[in-house]
Amino acid sequence: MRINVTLRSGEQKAVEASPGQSLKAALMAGGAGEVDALTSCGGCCSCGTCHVYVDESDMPRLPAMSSQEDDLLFVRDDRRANSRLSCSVPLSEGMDGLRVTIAPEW
Amino acid sequence: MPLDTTIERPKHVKPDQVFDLDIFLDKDLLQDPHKGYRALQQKAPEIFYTCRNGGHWVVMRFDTIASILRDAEHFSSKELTIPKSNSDNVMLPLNLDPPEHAGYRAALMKHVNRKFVDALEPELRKRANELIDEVIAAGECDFSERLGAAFPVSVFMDFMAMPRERFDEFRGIVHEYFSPISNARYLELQSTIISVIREMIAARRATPGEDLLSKLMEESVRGRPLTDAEVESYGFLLFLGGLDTVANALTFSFRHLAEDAPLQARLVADPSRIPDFVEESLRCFGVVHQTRIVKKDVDIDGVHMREGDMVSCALPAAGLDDRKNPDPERFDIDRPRREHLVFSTGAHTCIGNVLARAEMKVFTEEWLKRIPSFRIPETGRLVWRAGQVMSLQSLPLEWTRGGK
Repeated sequence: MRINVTLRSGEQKAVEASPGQSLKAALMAGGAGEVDALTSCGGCCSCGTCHVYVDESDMPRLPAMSSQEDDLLFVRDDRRANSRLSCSVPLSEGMDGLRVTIAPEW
Repeated sequence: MPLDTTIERPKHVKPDQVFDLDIFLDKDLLQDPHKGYRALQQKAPEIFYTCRNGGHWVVMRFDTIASILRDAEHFSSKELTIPKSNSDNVMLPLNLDPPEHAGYRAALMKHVNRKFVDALEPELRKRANELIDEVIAAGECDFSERLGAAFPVSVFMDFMAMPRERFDEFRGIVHEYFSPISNARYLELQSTIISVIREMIAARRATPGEDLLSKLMEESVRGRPLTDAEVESYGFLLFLGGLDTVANALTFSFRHLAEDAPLQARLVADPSRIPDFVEESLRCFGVVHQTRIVKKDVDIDGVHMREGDMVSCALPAAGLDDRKNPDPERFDIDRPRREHLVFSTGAHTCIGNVLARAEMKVFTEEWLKRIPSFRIPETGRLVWRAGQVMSLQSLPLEWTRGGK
């Protein structure tokens, strides 16, 4: 499966991914390393730095957000309705072709 | 902590899992704690139990530490002190476990992020030069307090709007707090710190400012405004984190640099490599050990940890793990890949890490512009503190009087 990502520079990339991976892990392995901040908690939904915007039309394909993820996004002034923390989006077959944009560094 | 807290080996600990180590008073650690932990990594059992200081596990390998710190199901942050302090005082967000923890962390992170640090940089540069001004003419100083601590601590005190004249008083408190003292004294110092913060909150209530406490007083978690008790509890953590951790990391890095003349010359010629110097120094010379209490029995690599057991994750040892960094004792700013856990990992990854890195970078840049060559005098004696937050309490340096 593939994920289409727009980097902070505006550059677009198609990233190879596999079901079961987290969206963050797939992005990092596929050359979108900027999603992994210096202040990262290591991908356990505790720091809020791996913030991405998911294409509106892809939102229904994503699993629901936990209250922990919601808490971390709560304080961000760059949060939008389509904000997610990429560590907390487990990929599944139905997400092929997902389009995401890395949010600004915070 | 005092020696009388040695216990008998608990039954669930096998005899071959015991290794005698006093994390506060071990001779080798007091000689050089980083060399000491690297040696322990090679000679002690992979995960071991020491009966000193109330009894606790010690974990020193990168992967094991990382898996423990990311495992909130079995390991809790409710008790962070060895021996157990049984304190009722809570540090927000450090003492909380997920999922309760996230909202409190986010409320603090919002104010100590990269934007904040970038905006602070001119102030960092100015402050570094003011402190260098104070010592440069003499051609010598004890780096630990005059610079290593004075720089990050005064920056911290400024953005907390703490009066600078209380520097010595506050430093005295944290020095004692992280030294081997009785639990009664430990709790007494907590009360002292909390009353300092309480006074500050009362003062801000009367006259709000732009400082971090004032900002936290306006902050909320999930839409509910923070209570004064909660702000106090953040303040307690900030006091300890702000007054003693970068200070130690900076002094450790200058201890290395003072003994590495070729590296001094290289960084003077090419200051763009200073961030690599900072990162390599963090890898080699960590400061804080992170403690967890087992909240649910768990087996790790043949070791049975029981509910209530204390676990010390030796973060400074993680960067010295040869399974992660080949030839780990070699200080090499050119490493193609470098891994360490100095700022921890998981839910409690240090929020101040961007600030800490920026402070170390800026200070080193400014210092080398003015004092490009320096060393430890032959008569110089290094005085270390081991324990859970390690420091180098004296680092005498000398250079050509007046700098370059």
